[in-house]
Amino acid sequence: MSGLSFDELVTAAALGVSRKGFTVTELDGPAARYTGAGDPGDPAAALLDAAALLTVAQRAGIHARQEFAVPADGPAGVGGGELELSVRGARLLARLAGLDQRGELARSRAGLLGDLLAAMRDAGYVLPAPLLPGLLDAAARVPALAPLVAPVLGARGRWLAGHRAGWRQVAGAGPARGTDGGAAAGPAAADGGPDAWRVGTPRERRAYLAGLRGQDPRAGRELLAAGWARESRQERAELVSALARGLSGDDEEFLEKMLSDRAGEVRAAARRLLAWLPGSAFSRRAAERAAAVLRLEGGGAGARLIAHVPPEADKAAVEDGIEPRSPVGWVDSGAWRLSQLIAGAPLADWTARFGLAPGELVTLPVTGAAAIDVRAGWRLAAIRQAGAGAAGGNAGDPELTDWALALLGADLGTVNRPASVWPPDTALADLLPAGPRGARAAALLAAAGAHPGHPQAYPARAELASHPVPWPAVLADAVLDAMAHEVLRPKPTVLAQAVVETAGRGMPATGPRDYAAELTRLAHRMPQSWMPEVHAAAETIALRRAFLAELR
Amino acid sequence: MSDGPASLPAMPARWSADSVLALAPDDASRRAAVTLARPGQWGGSAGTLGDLVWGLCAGSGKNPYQVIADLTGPTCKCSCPSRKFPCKHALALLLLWSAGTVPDQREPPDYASAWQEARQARARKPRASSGTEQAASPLPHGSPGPAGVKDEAAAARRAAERAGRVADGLTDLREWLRDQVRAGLAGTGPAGTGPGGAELMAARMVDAQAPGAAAVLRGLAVSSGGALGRLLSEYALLHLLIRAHERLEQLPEGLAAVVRSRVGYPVGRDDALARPAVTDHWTVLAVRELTDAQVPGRRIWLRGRETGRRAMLLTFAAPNGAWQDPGTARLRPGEEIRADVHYYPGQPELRALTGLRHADPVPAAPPVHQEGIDALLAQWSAALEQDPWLTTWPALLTGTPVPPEGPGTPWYLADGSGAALPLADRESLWTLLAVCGGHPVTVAGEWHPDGLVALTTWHGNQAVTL
Repeated sequence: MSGLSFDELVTAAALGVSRKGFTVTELDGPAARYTGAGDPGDPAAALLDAAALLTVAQRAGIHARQEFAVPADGPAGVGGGELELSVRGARLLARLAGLDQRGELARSRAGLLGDLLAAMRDAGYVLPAPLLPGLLDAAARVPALAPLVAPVLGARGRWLAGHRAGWRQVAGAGPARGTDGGAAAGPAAADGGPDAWRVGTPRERRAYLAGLRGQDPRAGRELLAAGWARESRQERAELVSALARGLSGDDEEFLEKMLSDRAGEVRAAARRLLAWLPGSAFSRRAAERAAAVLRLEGGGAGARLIAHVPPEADKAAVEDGIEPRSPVGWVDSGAWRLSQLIAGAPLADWTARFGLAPGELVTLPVTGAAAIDVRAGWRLAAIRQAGAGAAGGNAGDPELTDWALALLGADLGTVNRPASVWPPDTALADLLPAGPRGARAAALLAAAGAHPGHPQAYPARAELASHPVPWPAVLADAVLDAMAHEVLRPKPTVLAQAVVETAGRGMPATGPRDYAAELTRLAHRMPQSWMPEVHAAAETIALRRAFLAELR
Repeated sequence: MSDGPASLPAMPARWSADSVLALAPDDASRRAAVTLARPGQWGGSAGTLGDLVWGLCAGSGKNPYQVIADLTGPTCKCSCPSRKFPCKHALALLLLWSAGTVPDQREPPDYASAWQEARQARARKPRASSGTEQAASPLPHGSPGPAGVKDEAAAARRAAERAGRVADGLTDLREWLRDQVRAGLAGTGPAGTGPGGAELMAARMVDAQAPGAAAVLRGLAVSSGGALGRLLSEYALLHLLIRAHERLEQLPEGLAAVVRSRVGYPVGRDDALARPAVTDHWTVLAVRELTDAQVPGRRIWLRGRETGRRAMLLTFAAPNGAWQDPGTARLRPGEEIRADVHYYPGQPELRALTGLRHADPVPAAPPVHQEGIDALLAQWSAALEQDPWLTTWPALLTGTPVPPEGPGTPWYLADGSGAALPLADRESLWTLLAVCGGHPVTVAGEWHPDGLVALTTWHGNQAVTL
């Protein structure tokens, strides 16, 4: 017979031995041979002695689980064929991204981290294993990072990501690189074949449709049309947007039908695509309405625009997406209708019809409406047209560049209107090719740097924050020149504060000029109060340079 | 670790940045130090000569702070008002030095040499002053000879008094434990809440100079609401300790030492250092941060490269964050130090301290002698035979971590034979999984009866702290 077990002792001890008493006859297991060592005189002591014996016997007798099956799913060639970032590179990455010892990302560094990851991707490097959990966590928390983390995960990182739901999404966020081998990417691969369309997640279905459109636009449209009635409201809107790939006049009939869809999102998506088809009936209607609201009168120095704002939006226009009333924060409904109607025509229509360059058109006096509402329409048209160009694969239209530069030059002050009715300067600047954009940014810096408190400080600040990094030399030089005016100020101005915040990420880390050294030189002449921030920016540049050196 | 300029022969081996940051009193100082460790902050004032490093750090005040560090020790001094030790400026200076950006100088500036001289003077002083005191003290019985005898007699009297206090305290504790079992553990509610609670008993044990017993009781009071089984086990082992203490004179020497150390009799640093030295290249396998205790501490697990022996160094921090033994606190996994290790009395020999250090810590190759899981458990069970109160045992295994199969199941570490042990759940296990990539890796850590705490793994030659 077996003796007393530990559980029986616990039961006895829980109730207490004062009333019921307690005697040990025999103990369970290896402790049995010490049964007699206990104190028989006192039940409490006897119980404690027995419990000590059984506790130690249990601890000493722990057995491992045997014949444990380890899943053999680890990536076969760990590290094989992939360049792993060096230990020094990993340390620099952690330092620059502000990853602390537990791998948590300082949120303000997400942009800089993204730059470093993109550089790794371009050089064909993958993250070293110890950094993977921290960066997968960071990308799960900051969704913008996911497409940048995904390409540098490597086979090991993708395998690891498969173990946690939040990480799996990160691994599926980026287009699989050719060298990565699609097979290793697991269930989140971008193209899962027809199965992805039938049973995939919304993201996978969208990716499949876009892929099919890229190869055979007609097959893609017909696939979508075949199952249209079964799609949910949200799915319909997103899938229609996927038709942007391979968009052509053949899609017009299908999209026109969408204009009477029950769901507003679907109608809006269809309108956006129809507007990108210059020959479509939809675009023709919009262009005619635009021509009716704006005329040119006179010539030469006496030229002016005559705006005619229709008193009410007609029904056909409303069906084509013209909002009859202004959104919140935008007072004049008539002005908003005018802007929308002007935005309906391609910008090239205006230059062709009036025979004037964009730079001349934007400065003409306007009668019948405020000139700024006319320019708001052109701004909207520019943004819309850029979207069409990007979808059609012909970005960088030179005339669009001229229009963007003209519109940016026409309103130098800050316009306090929401972005939905007044695309901001930075959105227009995004339409510029690198050369003109850098030149414009440098000019803004020069204007703002020359005069303290110059109103250009605010546009300059916005441009520094949104200019693509690393900055071109012309901009970086202009930033240094502007800072040379600032060094003696006891406190940083708006412009200097903007530079301090952006220079670490923006200044080129490679190239003929050592911007870290230049900033350090400036910092030595600065007052204590804000010198450390300039040093920090210089250090970031130097660390970026060291990091890039590890990618060779 | 950084590829700084080659160090000069006279200079001590450069520490890693990790090793410097291991001295930081808290996370805030660690972050601040990293920010301050830029050459620009120091305006070219930093310099080093031999073991001395100095520099002027721009702070919020008008005058920059004077920061000096002596690498032996290390000891630091800064003119800033911070009460933390070392302060962020001293840490930043050491970081700069570890990055190789502090140039060698021929001569320290006045503030550094003055500090150094004052320290040297102080180091010489105690011997001189105790001599004077002895000479000046009026000796009632004349000759200095009996004074030594008297000291020994006094020490013996003090030891006897202490033993008496401990015995009295433990007798009270024994009766308290028995009372708990008589009344029923279920009825006493969460330990430590009632008037006869474990918290009060812990205070009583502190008074009775039995801090080991006090720590166990405090641990129970903190983890109130635990299962009754655990409570009974802990009570029973305390009771066993008291029973062993009652028979201390009859116990074999090794076991008696274990009982004394578990009860909490102190062993002086000098007494431990007087014990035989084991000289070896000691690899730092793992470092466990002890954050639950009343003061932050650090358990450092060593393994001798030649002797294959295990040793555990223990060090604690003062309330201002200063480590009592910064030379030990700064040891990082993956380093190796050639040193004399002296074991404290007890069995199996584990707790130790370092005596003479023959060289500074250097990066070590990943460890090669690893046991299987069954061998580890055999050692553990043999160790419990020598010390039944043991709860922690060093583990060095090669195995594959396997994430939980479902909710409520633990992680496992499986070795090549198919044996597997549960792993204590920690967020850093994901790092272990990343490093292993589904294949066996070397894992160093601590084995506890309820699971293996993975503390270090190796990614190539690089030790990764988990």
